[in-house]
Amino acid sequence: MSTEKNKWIDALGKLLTLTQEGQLIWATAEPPGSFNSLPHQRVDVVYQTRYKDRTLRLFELYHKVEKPKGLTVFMDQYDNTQYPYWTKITVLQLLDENGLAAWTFPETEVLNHLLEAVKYQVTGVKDFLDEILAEAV
Amino acid sequence: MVKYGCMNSLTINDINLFSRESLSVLGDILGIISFVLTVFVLYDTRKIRGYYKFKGRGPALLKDLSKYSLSISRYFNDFENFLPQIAEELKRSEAKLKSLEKKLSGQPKASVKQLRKIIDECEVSTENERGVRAAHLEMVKVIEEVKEHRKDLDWEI
Repeated sequence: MSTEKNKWIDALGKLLTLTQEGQLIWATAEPPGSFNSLPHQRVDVVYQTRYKDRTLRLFELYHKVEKPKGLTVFMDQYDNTQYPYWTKITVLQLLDENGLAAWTFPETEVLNHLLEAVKYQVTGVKDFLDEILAEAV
Repeated sequence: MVKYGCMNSLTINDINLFSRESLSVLGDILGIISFVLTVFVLYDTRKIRGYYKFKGRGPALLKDLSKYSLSISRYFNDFENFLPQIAEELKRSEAKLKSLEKKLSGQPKASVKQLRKIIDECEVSTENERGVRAAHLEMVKVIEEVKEHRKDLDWEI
């Protein structure tokens, strides 16, 4: 496997560790208007953090898949897909000083892991669990 | 010199194609050609068999490995309290990797083998959080590598 992709995985692994150890604090933010301006894509919430004087933005991008126009009658018979349907990908961007996406990280499995860790942190699952367990029955 | 002169003056009519010697030489040549073809066919058959073995079970194994990898990552949120679960997911991953290894060849196979060794030697304990995280990250890398390999295979066969 290319060492280039491994470098990205290592970097994202570090962000994952920092997030899970509470050294990188994420917060929810409103998605920019342009994210929801197209009918075939949707972003519900974005998560942002500051790391080494840079802003990172993480979100799930939902994309609507319509029935392909070129689908012939023959192909149609064998295509059991229910159209339209929504798919999602996890996106991590590095923002510039104007808040615009300057760089998008390559798509890897570890991005989903980071998103899970961010959701866990932002929603305060750990504190909630501790509160439940600490409560006298 | 005399012999060479004689060879030069040979015409096709002088060579008896059906003589014992000619047929023997022809048989030898055809034998060598058929041997080379057999080797090619064996190589291709092996490759195609490997492809279908991987094509059949590979995606399901990769899906399982991705699931285990995500679970381990979730347990990292509360590492100390989920040590047994992490160890269990790593053991499950090892079993899937063993099965996956048999369906691969070349570099991906070597990577899977190496990952199995890393997981096998990884001690899941509070003191070794760094080591467990490193093993998890290796797992993600190998999953990505095998996914890429799968895409390449679709173009090769």
